[in-house]
Amino acid sequence: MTILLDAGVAIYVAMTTALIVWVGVFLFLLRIDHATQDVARQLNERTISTDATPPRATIISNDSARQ
Amino acid sequence: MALRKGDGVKIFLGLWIAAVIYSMFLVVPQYVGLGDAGRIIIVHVPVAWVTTAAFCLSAIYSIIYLWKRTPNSDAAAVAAAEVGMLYCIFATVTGSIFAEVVWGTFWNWDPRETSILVLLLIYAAYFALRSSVDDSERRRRLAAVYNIFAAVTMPFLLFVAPRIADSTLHPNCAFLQGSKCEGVSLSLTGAKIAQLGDVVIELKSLTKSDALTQATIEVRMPGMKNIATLVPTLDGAGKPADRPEFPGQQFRMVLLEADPTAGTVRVNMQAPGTNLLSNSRTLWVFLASNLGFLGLAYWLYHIRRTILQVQLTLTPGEMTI
Repeated sequence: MTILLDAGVAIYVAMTTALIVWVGVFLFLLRIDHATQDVARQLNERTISTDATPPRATIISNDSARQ
Repeated sequence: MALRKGDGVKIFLGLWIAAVIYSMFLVVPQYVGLGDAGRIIIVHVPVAWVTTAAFCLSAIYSIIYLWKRTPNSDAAAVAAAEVGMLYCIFATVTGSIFAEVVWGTFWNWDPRETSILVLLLIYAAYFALRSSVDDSERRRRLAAVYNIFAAVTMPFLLFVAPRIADSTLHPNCAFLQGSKCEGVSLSLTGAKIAQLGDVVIELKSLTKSDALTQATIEVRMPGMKNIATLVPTLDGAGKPADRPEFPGQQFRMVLLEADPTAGTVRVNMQAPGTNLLSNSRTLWVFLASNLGFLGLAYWLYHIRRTILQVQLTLTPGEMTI
């Protein structure tokens, strides 16, 4: 393990570690982003379907019916 | 994981930050006096700047909330404050690692360290306030007002307070053109003793030969540990020549001005890293890092804001954070 701490190697070890951590964070964020988009889209679709045109009823009074 | 429309920008951001990481280690040259520890500045400073931007955005949405009373604005304010807090913690941690390597301690109550800690506490109180009020409308209103006050203190804590101090280990002159690091003045006939950062300094003598002006200054580190005599010099052209190191530290004393006839000098601390950005490769990687971390902050903010808005739609008034 000490070879990883040698002056010439340590900087590559540090860079590789930082890159691996970043790739992990990036993939995690991408997954969360996709999941969030899915939930938001499904919610929007559900909201739109429940907001569909409500049934209408026309009340006609007796007077206007006679006319 | 299948890619989707719109992922192109995110993948570009991912590659951009990966390139910044690569450049930080293998493109940016070592800076004299800092060694490889200096590379952390490529992350530390941009993250601190983006913290400011995130807290400002949060305050703007709080103002919008108070004006229009739309819960979505409050959700945006929370999301931005959370990103700002995350970045602020990251800046503090990277700064502490740097301090341990370069200055010999993780935390030394430097003015800028102290002010960022206060800022962290102020925003921690913002989240504590939000979680302590049950009524959602009241919570949003109180939090919005508090957030605006918190944002007002931020420029003072980040930009003014550290510069009011006589000196700081942070090289203010490194990044901002025209910023002042004036140091402190000492006089053989007047004020011999002064405080430079957390170090007490005392002017003992001032001599001038043909090519060199020498000031003999006794320094006492905090707790009266490491009393030493340093002899910074000015060359014949009036420029700093010898810059001795403070005992047990990696920062130096620099003689900025000296007037042997009047017996006065002006001295300062010089942290390693001053004028770091004069190297063009360092400058470009630093700018790229700023853009990368700004983009990442926006992405984080966007995700968090969407989650909060979904929560708001599902359970109006029940957004607990």
